[in-house]
Amino acid sequence: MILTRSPGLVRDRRQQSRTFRRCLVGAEMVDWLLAIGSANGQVKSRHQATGMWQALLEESIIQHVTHEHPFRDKYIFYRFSIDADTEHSSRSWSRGLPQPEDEREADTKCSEVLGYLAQRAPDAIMRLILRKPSYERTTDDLEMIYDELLSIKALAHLSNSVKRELAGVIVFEAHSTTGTVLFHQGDEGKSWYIILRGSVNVVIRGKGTVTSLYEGDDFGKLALVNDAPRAATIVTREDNSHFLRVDKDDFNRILRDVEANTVRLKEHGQDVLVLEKISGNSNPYSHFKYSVMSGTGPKMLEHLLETRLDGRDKSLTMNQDGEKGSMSSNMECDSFLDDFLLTHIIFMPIHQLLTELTRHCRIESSVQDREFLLACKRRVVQFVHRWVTTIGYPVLEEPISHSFLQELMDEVQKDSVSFNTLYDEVLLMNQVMDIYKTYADERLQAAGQKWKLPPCGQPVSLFGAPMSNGEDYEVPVERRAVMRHDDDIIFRVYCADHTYCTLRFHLSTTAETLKHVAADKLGLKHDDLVLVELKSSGEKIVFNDGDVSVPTSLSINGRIFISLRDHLDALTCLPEQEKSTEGREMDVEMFSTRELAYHLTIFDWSLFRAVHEYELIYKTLGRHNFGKITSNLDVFLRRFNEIQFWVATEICLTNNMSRRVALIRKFLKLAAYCKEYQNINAFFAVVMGLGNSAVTRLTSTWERLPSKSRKVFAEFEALIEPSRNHRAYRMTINKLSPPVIPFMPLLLKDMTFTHEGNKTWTDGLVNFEKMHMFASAMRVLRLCRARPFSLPPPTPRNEIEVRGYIRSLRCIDNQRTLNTLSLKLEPKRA
Amino acid sequence: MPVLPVRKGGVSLLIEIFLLRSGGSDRQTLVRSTGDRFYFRILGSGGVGKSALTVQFVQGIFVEKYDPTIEDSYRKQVEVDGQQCMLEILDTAGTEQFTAMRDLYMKNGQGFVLVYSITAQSTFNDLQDLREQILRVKDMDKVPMVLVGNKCDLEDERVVGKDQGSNLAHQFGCTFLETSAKAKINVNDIFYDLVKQINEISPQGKPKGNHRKRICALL
Repeated sequence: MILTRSPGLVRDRRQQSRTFRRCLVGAEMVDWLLAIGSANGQVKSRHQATGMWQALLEESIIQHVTHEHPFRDKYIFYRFSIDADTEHSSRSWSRGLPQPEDEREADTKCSEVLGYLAQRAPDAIMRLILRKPSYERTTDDLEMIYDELLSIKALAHLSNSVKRELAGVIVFEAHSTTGTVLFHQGDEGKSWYIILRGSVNVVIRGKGTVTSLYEGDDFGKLALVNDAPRAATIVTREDNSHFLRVDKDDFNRILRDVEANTVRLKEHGQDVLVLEKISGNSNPYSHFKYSVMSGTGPKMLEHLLETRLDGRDKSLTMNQDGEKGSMSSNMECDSFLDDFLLTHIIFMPIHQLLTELTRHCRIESSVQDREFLLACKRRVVQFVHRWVTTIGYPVLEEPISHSFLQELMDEVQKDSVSFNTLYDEVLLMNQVMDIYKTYADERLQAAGQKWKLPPCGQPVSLFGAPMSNGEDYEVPVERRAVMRHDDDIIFRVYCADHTYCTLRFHLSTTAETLKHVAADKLGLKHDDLVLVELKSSGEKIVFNDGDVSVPTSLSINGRIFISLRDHLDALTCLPEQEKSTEGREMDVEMFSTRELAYHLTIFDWSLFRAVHEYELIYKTLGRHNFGKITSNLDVFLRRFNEIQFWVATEICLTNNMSRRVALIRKFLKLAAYCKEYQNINAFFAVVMGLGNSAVTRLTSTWERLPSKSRKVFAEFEALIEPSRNHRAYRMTINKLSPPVIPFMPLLLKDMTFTHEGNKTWTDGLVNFEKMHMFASAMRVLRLCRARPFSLPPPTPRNEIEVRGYIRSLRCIDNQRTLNTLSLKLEPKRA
Repeated sequence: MPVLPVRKGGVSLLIEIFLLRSGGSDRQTLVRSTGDRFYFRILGSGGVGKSALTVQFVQGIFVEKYDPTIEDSYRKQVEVDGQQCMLEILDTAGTEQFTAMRDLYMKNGQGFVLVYSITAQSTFNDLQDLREQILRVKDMDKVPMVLVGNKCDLEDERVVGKDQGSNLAHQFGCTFLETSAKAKINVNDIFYDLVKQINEISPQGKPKGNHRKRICALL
């Protein structure tokens, strides 16, 4: 319309033997606009005029004749889109020349339109500049881009010097239609995007659209930083969406080291995964630049499978040894997978994890490409293999595990035949199935395994436990059977009048059930009954109805009582509780200290080995929350008290002064041997036993001890000294290599404070930092057990007796009784 | 204590610096300038919220990550009555079942916090024994101590009355506080009160390190 005044501008032009009808020349268009616009001061420069034309071009009012160029102030042809549309249908000037009334209308509107265009021009110019390859950008251009970048939210955290660098490389990208794919999930990450206008959908296979991102949001960073494949597909959800793009090389050069410390991935408007950059040198061996801070269970699993497990066909990468080697070593240094395996039961029970894994194997198979599906399966198989080999029986114990494993196995086998791939995965699954079979066989053999809770010592296996033969000296480490949830245990429940009934139940039976059965048997008819542990000190610990593994959780001389809740205070200890437990009537002085220490360590080792890492979690977070037994841990923890009280008891029961001195010296030697055998748990127990106030107050006895022994004791005390958060111990244990039996109480304390000091959930996401801390504590068990205990036994002297003796140490665990005994030995001085 | 040459000038200054560095002087100013250390012990039955008190005190408002394996997680620098002190807290939470470990934990403690839960009578009843054990281990008639009734935010579930608590504290001859780690009530007061109690016992040379002898001598 406006062009009517200068009809000469629009005409058919020829260039390179092609005729372009009804078009205009860029430079002339600028001339014209400047001519009509400068009169009223609306158009001040060629630069501005260029921008105005560009704005029209972006709105598709004009177009480059072959759609190649943006608007330029050069000898380049443009035409009105409306003309282009009619070009082919009609070769004549169908509309004819504008009528005079049109001209008048055009005149009145001219100023308004120019003003509008002038307003649009700067943005259009910006986009124009951003479309230029970086080598074409002038200093002025860079300055303009820089000014623009200052106002972009996604870059707000970057320093100005970084923004200046970005100004040189950041590019503009526009997509005119809804549904354009910017990149696909699984693609190599090539660039990082910021949304300038419009919005996009984030689509994940099997989940559909998980969230939408809008103006100011950015995406695509994660794949660049972690060198991982794209975690989602990005599709425009509006026409005319505009983006800023930074390509990988530039991103790496400029941003990699300064990029945001935190990455938040959203689905459906909610954060689902929060990653934090790992600070520079913390782990130079890991190529992962981000660690998981928090996330939802399923999203963390997805991230884990995509970034920590290799979905590639190994047979193709086999030859690239260097790369493969570095990949696997990177995996070892990063603990994400291991942390997840050790702690998922807190936020994602096994059955739920199995469901998620099944989902990952069966993603809309009809739509997706085969390579992607195979990659998913490879990852799931590798995950399952790691899971079963590191966690073991808790996974296999789950009722639906077997069918899951069998189905996965069948599927992988089928795929390996039909697609001629997945061979490694078949091997892995075979291993998994073998482990399952071994487990099932063992369970079958040990079916009906029974334990008896003796009046002292550790629960004794009565039947079915595959214990190694006691006479087999070649295998010094006996394999004590692990206590399982469906093993029976025989124990007593007492009434206030000390009558009792004997019960036999699975270890996993809840306190509530035990309470009802015991009440029945004992003829108690009342609603408000409680099951309670009565310790020899008189302390009472009421069991929660949901507690399992009740009998194994007792203290050394503790007994299970049933009582009215209101009558708890009236409960009195059985006479036997205050006395010493029935130890072997044998004189500890008879035995060689080294032999004693050796067999003590072997027995402790067998108890320690039976403890599963998960039991630490059950214990710390409450076994009733999981319904899982902690019996193996209970028994091992009780061993610590047992040794400690045994030492104090033996000394307090020795009336003769010089024999007492000899006994203390023997225990000091025992502690030294335990330390040598790296049975640190027993070392602590013995030294603490000697440090019991009933023992330390025997000053006359200590005075008779050679000064050398007193010095040794002082050295040992320095090692167990708890100040500075058990610094002495923590320094020592770090230097030891396995096999080691660690000081268990401290591990429990670390677990407790990790739990108490950190939230499990933050804003609806699992606080994975806490999980990492839990896992680090749990890994101590694994590290300590990384090598079997295989020291040669000392020359046997009283082997059979010693082995029997260390299994039933006599001890008084009532501190008052010990004090009374001690006072008799050395009365209080005036 | 070495005799200082009463001569102005470089040498005496050097000696002063030497004393400052070596900590070889009992002069209050020098001791204070390096900051005093206090060793506190937190005791009580399982489930009374001991660990929550410690975490709340050490961590304060900075609810970042709490890593219990590092030294800083159990100590805190505070200023009480214009005096800089480093408080090192040994908390028995998580290890309640190892009753025989208590002796070791009590041994080098200077101030003791006995915690029960106002929602569980048994946790209150257990404290008498605990106090006896402390006095026996320390071989003293009285030690700096605070009796703490925790979980006072759970007023609805209260079974131990406030008067019961203050009576017991009176009998123990110690301070009584009702606290809530969750609602952040009176948490810091426990520790400040202990510092004051210790300072009252030994007003001059503040107990520094594990100089138990000095405390005993004063008693």
